[in-house]
Amino acid sequence: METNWRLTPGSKLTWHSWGSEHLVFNENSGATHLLPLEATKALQSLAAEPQTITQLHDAILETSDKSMPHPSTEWLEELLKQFQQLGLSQLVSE
Amino acid sequence: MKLSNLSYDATASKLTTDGLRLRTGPFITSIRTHTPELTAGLQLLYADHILKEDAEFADFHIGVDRPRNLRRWLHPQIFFYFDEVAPFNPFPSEQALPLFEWGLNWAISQHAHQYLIIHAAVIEKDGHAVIMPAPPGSGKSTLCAGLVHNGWRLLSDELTLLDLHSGQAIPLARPVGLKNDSVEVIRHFAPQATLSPMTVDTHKGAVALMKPPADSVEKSDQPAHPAWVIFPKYIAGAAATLTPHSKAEACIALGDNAFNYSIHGVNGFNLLTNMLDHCDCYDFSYSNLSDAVSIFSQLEPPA
Repeated sequence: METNWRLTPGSKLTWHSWGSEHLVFNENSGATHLLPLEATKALQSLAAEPQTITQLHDAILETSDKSMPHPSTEWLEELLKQFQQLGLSQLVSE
Repeated sequence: MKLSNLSYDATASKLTTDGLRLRTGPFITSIRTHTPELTAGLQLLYADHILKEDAEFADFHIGVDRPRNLRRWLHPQIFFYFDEVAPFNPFPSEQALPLFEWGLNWAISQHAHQYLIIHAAVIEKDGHAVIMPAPPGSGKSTLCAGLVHNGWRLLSDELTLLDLHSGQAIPLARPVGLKNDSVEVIRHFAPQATLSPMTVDTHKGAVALMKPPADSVEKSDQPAHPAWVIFPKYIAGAAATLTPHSKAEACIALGDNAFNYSIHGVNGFNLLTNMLDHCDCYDFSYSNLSDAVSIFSQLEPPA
């Protein structure tokens, strides 16, 4: 059974966007991150509720431009690991 | 009363007793020294700054003096004191003037947390400010010195103070530090500029300080709204060129260049993002100051 990912408990994120540029400020770490669109969608989806990689992938595709290349589940898995290193996300079992 | 109204002897007397209190932007700085080089340097570079009463509250208590041991006479050294404590190793005594400037920058950047403090030059014209963050060697100070003698007002060459509530840039008109070849460049480009004697063999090379224009000092109570964030870079032989710069990347760079971004947390983030909503951002490469002045004169504030 696929494991859920979630936003790190207690996270407080503040967003700001200019067109296709998305910034998020993580109050837990004090760090500001510049994210590509798909990463922004993934983090915002996780902020809404814990999800598996498959669910996250589906959520991203749902709002993506169908004519553009879409991210793979492998990319998404790597992204979540990067979020984990930044203290933004974690596996639900953690 | 301005410092220029005080004689050398009267200035030295204050500096060696209770301290000379100078208004430097939003701060009052009390300075004590027995060093003739610093006394003369202050008289030259801070001539237009306002003197405050001896008993007035001072935000910073700065001292620059020789130690009371052999190094007072043998290869003489000099210490920077903040609240009577020496936070740095001693410097060669001939570096008293640049040491005072570096030390005061340090004091402000480490303590004035009522502002978001960015390591950047900031200048103003017609109420609109340009913030210029840049690493050492990028030509920031040379560009700043050239512009403030050509229609722009100096708010600061080193420390951009952003008010957390209004988002305005707060003036801190103090001497502009010029290094190595930049000194001669400014001597020729702005012959009206007043420069201190050159101090050689500092950790930044040969340095001279440029007196802030009197008009900039007089308008020290007039903040300005940032309208542009420009990342300057001197490139030998390059044409003066403005290239649009991503606002998000500018925000990251400003945070990285801020001394106290982490202290302000989300308030610092909101301040920068709200400010950038109303700014245009550019990279600026240049090699010729006249061309740079021309390009800057054509800047149109964002709608």
